Amino acid sequence: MDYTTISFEREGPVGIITLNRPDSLNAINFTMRDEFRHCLKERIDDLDARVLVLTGVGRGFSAGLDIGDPEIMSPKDGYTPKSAYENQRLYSDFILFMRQTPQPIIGAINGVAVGAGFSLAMACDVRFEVPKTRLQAAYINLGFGAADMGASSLLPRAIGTGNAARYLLTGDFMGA
Amino acid sequence: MDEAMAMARNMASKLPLSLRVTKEALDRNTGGMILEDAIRLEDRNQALTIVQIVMGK
Repeated sequence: MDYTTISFEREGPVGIITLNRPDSLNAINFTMRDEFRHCLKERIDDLDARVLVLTGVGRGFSAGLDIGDPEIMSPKDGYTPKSAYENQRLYSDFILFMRQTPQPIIGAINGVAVGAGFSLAMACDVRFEVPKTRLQAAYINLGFGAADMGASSLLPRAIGTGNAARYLLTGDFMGA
Repeated sequence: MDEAMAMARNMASKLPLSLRVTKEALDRNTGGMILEDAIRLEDRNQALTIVQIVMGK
């Protein structure tokens, strides 16, 4: 599969997955969703890659779901409970795939990681952050539940339940 | 990115099976076994709330 919104390169035993929509701060549209799913699923059986690095091109890591894309927020057939649930699982699978890959995943978080981008960062085994990195579980500010894409499990594991509740319920930015 | 690549090369120098079972143990022993259940509950919430957003309330 030729990717247009991500890239996958190998440097010896290290596989590098790069989110590549820099004009949109690497926001996730349907194409990126499908390409990222494809790439992660292939890595589950990829014995040549022993470690993965996940990063983004440009100023930030990922702005999360591309809510400016009408295809996402206003699909032509609307959302039914069934379609909303099925669509949601296509994103939340990212997190399960990242936990299922045999390779440790090192996040090189090159700037803001918001919403789904935040959850991707949290699902890495190890994270490196540049000084300007800010993490934000922005979900609740947009009207979503803040427990999204593993955030209600991964964030308490990382920073404790009290801090996790604070950031999920306010949608405030966290420092790196 | 340089630090991430340096750590990736360091990890990649270990025996592959050792690396793999260590990731699995760290994940499962710190809550990874309930992650799928957690995510399925979250999925229901998000399906409900996106309908809330689309309906404008």
